[in-house]
Amino acid sequence: MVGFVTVCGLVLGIVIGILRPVHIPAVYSKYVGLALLAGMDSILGGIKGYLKDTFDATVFFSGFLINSLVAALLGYLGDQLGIDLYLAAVVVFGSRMYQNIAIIRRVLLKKEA
Amino acid sequence: MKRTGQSSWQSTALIFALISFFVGFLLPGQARVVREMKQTYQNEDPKDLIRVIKDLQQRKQDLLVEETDVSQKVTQYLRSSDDTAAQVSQLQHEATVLRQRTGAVPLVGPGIRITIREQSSGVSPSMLADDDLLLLLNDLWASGAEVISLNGIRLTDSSSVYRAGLNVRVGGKVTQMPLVINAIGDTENMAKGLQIPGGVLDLLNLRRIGAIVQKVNLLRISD
Repeated sequence: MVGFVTVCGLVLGIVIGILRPVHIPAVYSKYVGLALLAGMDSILGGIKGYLKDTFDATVFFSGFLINSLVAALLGYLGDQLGIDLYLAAVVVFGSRMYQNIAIIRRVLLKKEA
Repeated sequence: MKRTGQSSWQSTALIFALISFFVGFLLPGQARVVREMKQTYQNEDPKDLIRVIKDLQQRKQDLLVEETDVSQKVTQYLRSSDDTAAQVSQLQHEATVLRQRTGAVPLVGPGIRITIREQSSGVSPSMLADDDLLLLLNDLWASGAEVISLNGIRLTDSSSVYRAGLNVRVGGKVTQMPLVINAIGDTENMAKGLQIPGGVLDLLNLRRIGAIVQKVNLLRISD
């Protein structure tokens, strides 16, 4: 059910975002992209926690905020130092998203069985 | 905050809905910015841009040399204006060229055909801009085109060419992509002029707009 609510929220957000697009300055687009990646990772992590009965709303919400901020800051810091630090965030969140999707799939398959 | 009952489930669902809504809301804006950035030089590799700038500087140098040559020819022409027969011949030649330029007479001869296709779909669509089209046409005129047609519409010295949404407006007529540009003139010179490194074909290629140049033995351009 939480998965359904999440998908509905996401679809509603995308539809409103298309109809009334928010203006993101090109300079910050890289950082916003990283924050969105972190946000998507948090959502998948939350769904996984919910399905495994270990969900904690405080951890979920704080994880979403802190991960997004840290990802954006990491990108900014990397730009200032001339290092592609944002790759660290991309690799970590990207691989974690794969792991979370795999776990969610397994849990759902077990429930079906 | 562990799940303990109905209210706990509702708050969990609410927080999921809010966060996913927030992420979903930002996604289209972010995708739009990335798409816009890809259409400019802002995100290009600096090495490519340096190469393009160097090529353009070389091209500018070549054009300056050409300008000097043409100026010398003009001076020679002015000096030889005392010769009446040469003057008459020169004026007849100019009249012929002007008739061709204004589209008063149809023209047949060898030339080149350029087919331009935009990548209108996919993840990163590309679109031919007014500047690209004008640069291409001006390059053709400069490299020896005597007459040019755009999707069968003949251009004259006073023709205006610009994008009007997805269409292309040529004078008072409207045409659509893909564009087929026929140019009659010095085939070799026109092909070389277009293929100068850092020239218009390189710029189109950099912006992922497909341009195919073919040499044609016999082209006919009428009204």
